Amino acid sequence: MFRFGHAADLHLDSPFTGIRNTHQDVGEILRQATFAAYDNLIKLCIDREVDALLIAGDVFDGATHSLPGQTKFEKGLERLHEHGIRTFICHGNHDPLDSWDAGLRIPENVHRFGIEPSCVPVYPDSPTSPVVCGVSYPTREVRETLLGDFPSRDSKQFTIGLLHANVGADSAHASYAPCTIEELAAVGYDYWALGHVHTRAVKHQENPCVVYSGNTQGRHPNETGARGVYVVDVDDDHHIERKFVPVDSVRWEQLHLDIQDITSPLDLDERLTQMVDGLRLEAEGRSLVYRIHLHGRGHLHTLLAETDSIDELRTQLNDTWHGQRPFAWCGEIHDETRSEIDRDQLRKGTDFIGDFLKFTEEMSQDQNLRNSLKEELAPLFENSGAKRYLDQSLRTEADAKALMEAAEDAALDLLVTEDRDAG
Amino acid sequence: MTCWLRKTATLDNCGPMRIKSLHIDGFGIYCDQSLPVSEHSITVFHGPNEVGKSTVLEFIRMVLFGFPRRHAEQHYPPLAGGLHGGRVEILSDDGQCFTFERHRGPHGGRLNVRSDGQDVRDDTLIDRLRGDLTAGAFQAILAFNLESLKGLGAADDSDITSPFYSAGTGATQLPTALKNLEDRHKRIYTKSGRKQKVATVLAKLTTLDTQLRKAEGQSAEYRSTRRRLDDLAAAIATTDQTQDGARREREERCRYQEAWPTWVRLQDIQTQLSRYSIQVGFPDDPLLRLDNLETQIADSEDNLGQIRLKLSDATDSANRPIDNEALLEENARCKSLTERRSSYQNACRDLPKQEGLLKKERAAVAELLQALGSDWSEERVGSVDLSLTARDAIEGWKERLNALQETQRGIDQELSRLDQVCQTAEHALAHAQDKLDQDLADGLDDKIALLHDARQRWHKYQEAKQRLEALEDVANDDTALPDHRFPMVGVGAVVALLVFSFVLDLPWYVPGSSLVLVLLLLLRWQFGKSPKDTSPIADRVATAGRVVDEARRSYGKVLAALDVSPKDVDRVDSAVLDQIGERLNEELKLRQALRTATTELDIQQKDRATCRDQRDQQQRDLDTATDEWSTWLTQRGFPGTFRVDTIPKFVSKIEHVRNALKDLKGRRDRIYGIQKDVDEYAADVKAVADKKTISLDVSQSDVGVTADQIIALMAEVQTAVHDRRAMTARAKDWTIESKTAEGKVSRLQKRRDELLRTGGTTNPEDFRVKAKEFIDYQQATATRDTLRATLRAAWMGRHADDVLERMFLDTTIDEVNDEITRLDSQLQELRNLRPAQLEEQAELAAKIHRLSSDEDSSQWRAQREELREELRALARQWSTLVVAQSLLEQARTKYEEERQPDVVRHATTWFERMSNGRYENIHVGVGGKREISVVDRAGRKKAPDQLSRGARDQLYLALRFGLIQNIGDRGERLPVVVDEVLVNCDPARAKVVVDAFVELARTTQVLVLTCHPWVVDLFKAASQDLDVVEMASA
Repeated sequence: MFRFGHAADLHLDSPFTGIRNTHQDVGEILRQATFAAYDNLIKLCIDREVDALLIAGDVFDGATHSLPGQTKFEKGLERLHEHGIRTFICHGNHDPLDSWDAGLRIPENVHRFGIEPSCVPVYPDSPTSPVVCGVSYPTREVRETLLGDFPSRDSKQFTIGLLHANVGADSAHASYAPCTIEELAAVGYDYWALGHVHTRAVKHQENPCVVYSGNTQGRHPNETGARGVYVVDVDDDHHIERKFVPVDSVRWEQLHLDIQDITSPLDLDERLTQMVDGLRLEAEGRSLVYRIHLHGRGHLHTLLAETDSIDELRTQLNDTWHGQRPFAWCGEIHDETRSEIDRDQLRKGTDFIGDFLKFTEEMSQDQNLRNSLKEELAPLFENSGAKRYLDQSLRTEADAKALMEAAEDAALDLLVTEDRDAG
Repeated sequence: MTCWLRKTATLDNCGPMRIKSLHIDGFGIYCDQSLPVSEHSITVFHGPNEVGKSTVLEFIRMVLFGFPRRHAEQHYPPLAGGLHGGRVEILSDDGQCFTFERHRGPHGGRLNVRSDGQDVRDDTLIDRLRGDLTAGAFQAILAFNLESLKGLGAADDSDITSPFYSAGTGATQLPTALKNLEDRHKRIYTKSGRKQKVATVLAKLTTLDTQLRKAEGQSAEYRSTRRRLDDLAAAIATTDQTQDGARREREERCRYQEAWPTWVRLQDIQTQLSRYSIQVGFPDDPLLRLDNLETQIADSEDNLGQIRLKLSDATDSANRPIDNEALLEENARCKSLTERRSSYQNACRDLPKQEGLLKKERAAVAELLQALGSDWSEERVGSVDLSLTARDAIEGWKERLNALQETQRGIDQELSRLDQVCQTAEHALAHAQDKLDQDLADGLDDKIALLHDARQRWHKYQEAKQRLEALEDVANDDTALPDHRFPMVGVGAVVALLVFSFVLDLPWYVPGSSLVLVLLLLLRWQFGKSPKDTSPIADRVATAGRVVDEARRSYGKVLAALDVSPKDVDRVDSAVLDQIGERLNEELKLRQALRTATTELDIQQKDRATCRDQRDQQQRDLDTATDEWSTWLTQRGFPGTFRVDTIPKFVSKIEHVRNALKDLKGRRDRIYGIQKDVDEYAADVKAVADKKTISLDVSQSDVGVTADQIIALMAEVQTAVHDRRAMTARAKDWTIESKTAEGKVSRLQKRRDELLRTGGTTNPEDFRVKAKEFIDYQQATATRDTLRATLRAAWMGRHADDVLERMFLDTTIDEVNDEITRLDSQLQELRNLRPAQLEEQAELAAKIHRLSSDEDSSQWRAQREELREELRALARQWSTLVVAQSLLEQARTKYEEERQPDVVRHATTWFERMSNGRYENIHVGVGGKREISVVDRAGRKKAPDQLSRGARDQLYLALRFGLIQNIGDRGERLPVVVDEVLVNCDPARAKVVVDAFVELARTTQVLVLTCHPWVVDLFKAASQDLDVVEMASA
């Protein structure tokens, strides 16, 4: 039987995104999270006594030239080498071959695929040894398929393809080395160990088995849930059995809470605490970074709309949990709540508020809304200093509409206030 | 949360709201002052300056909307006294009258609203009555003076138009909201701001980026450092290698240096060796070998001589003849004699002793037999059965006979006891018989019966006597005794008798029988009363006497049977009878005792007889057993008279005799044996002694002496023979050794000869000379070899001798020394270089470690990402606020554009009228600043500040009119209160304005406050529906 580990997108030393103002201890743990996940990966390979570890690209962010990322990666490979575990690596868009500039000393049983596709037996001395075929990105920008030059397989040997690519033209991911399932199947390999898509997925069950292992550590709010690797067993008949094993050390989650039935800040705090506690249990001893989405209508909206109240709530939650191990850290609270006022009724009014709501409704349906709003936002988003740090504003119409709604809420919260005259 | 934009009920069917009256308790100059307001649509309050017109305006505002929250006491304080405040009466559109009353107090003063004498607490109604307006709106629109009017035209038109429009549109928070949004987003970001949040974050990001750019080079620096480290390691290795090489070379040269004397000496030795001419094959150690051989030869020859001498002696000894050698023919017999010699000696010594013992034992046996009996012989003793069976049988007989005897003894003892018992019983019987009065005993039973009868008769006698006495007494007394005397007496007698019996401890039957008797008498007395008792007393006495006599006679008869004299009848009372009874009892006891003793005696006698029978039987059994025992004894050879207790002793004696006899027999046998041995020994000795060939001293007749002689002689012969044999064997050995020694001597001589030949001579002395020379040569050779070995050792055997020789020949000592000096110099240089290299290596290693363990860049990246997220969050907040502000502004603009025409249209109409058509249009700017402009007939646009003061006032008045009209169109018809708004108008304009007010008054109550009569006149001229209230000075 042949056993191998399939991992990808380690992104060593890449920071977490979507969080801010972390406590020093928490920040340090988050910073070390990718390394901790990598250590877990190495330990898993040693404990499970795999024959080989396959890494499908994006080991670290080459753009940052992270030296700790490279040196720690090297140490992990040395540990595997000490235990006689071979390692096969192909490099992707984030860690192309030209980004490895630290001059690492790679152990002799590690094979890094070059810019030309090639096949390497796992056990060179065995004629029936499984074979790993792969190719690395020479530079960051590889926009064409790399499948064309892959060698054809030897029919007797179990053959694995190692590739960092966007299979199926997934629009959610950058289109690097695009290809299709059919093109992969045409190569004729038994298993495709893919990287690039951070959410694990089995794109094709068999003939061939096409698998994204996902990244080993979630690093932003959209990468929730367990992250890890696949341990794959292949018997003599080339029957494949996969098992996903989480190796992440910190887990992302998102909470959604409707404030409709929540009557007080204390109640809100209790509900959130319960939810966070539940998530901690599900994280199986891992630290937790979570984002809260408050939505719905309730009179609590007024309190939440007050300046700094969201930040205070977030601070309160973090003060509660950040000192524990494992900790739970609230990265962000999105206040998507609305007041209890009847907008439809207000909209029908002939006063300014009614006109305002009618106006915003018309604006929302405007075809040119996004451009209009972008003009409003240009002073900041086109600022030369801020531009390089900020993402493009209002990339989609949905973004524009969401901003419209938020602005409308903010304006309405100010217009609809308590009468302060004597009665 | 209440909203002043609360929708009110429509007023489609309502008339205008009117102020009906004012009552001022204390406000400004007014004190307890009522000001009626007519029902006319226009009321002009006319009065001089300082009369309080403006005070009225402010009073109305105060009552409806409250005192200022701060410093209320300074707001038109009641200068003339009175409670600071008052009331306003309002007539609602449906004709209901409401009184609004307010005085100064907290929170602007408490408002009390009453209608029809009852408090109104409906806030909705109250607000409606106030037109659902705030104080500001009321002031802005409906209650204004010249200042307020001017306020509309103040410098910043946007500040004026905003409240103007916000008041009209109902969103009073709009300016605040816009300000709030603007302030908030400006705190986050402004284009040129440096202290805003975004600027702060950007500054931090810039700093981090700078640091990260520097850190980007770490990777390349790491690589280059690593390469440099590898190069340096190679350089250090080269240095070490060079150093090792130089060191080795130096060591090599030092070897030359150290070994050079050896080399020189070697050369000398070789020269010396070349001068020797040594025969090839000259033996090693020649002198030693020669000396050894000659010594060995000498020793061997001496040894040979000794061996030969010993051989000669042994041969002589072996051939020497032996005396009495013929004795060897009797070797066996002599041996036997020797072996038995001591036995013979002992036997001879023991025989008399044994015979003496035999004699004693024979005597002892005779005594023992004698002790047994005269008829006892040894044969008889032997015939006695002393087997175990017999012994067991004896034990059985012993037990049986002893048991019989024991039984017999027991029976005898019992019999003896019974004899004594019988004897005792006989004595007792005799004693009883003696004591017993036989005569009395014979009739004892009768006597007892008589006694019993006597007692009865005595009682009868006593009763009769008592009865007689009683009758006699009765007869004597002539009074009848109560009948109860007899029973009383009877009872007393019974009691006395019971006491007497108890005290004397009489037998129970005495008081018992007496009691029975008394009871019978009582019964008889009771039932015995017969008619005769009724007879005369004398008869009765006589009868009683006769009874007494009869009783006495009867009693005496019985006594006589008891051997008591009749004379003693009266003296024999119960006591005497008791005595008699006691005596009879004693006799009775004696008789009983006699009977008992007799019975006992019979029993004992029977027992004794039985016991005697048993004893007799036992005796018979014993006799039988004894006879049997005797028979058994006799059959086994014992005397039949022995008893079982004595037979063991006898058996013991028999055994003893038997043992003695056995010993005696043994003694005899032994003596026989000894004698036999002695005779046989003597015969053997004689046999040997008779041999003539043996020289013995036969004069001794003692066999033992002769035997000793034979034995000694035999020993001598044997010894001699043994010696001869030994010598013979030794002679053989010596012969062999002699040959061996001869061979050895020969071999040694041969070797010596060979040795001499190898030395090229046959003369030992010559050989010695040559050998000495050879030894010298060898020493020299050894020295050479040693030197060569020393040289090889210096090079640890790496080079052969010829190679070493060439090495030394190829150089000189000077060259060696020079080379050493050069190498020392080189080594010193290398020693100086290496520390620097090591130091650099350590630095590079530290740098590698620092680079690889540097976490700063990683931390910076993490911080950068957090700051980017912070920036995004700020951007989102800023975007929301900016867009919210923009939306509000756009909405307001749109609102103004869409709503404004009604207001502006109305205002334009009013303004055009007021300006007599001079101005045709009013325009309020949209977007950006709020600008009001007017367009004249020529189409020229003018700003308010470009107008004359009067025209400007008219403009703002027209705007107000337009707004009032607009509000009125929406439903509210609140009164308008104006204070001196025409002062800046020329007459023509004033008239137009008045006409406008009149026009307005058609739908709204108008209250005009003025101090100018011409204004009054204007209003009077303009309208009939008008009232003028003259306000006099206080």
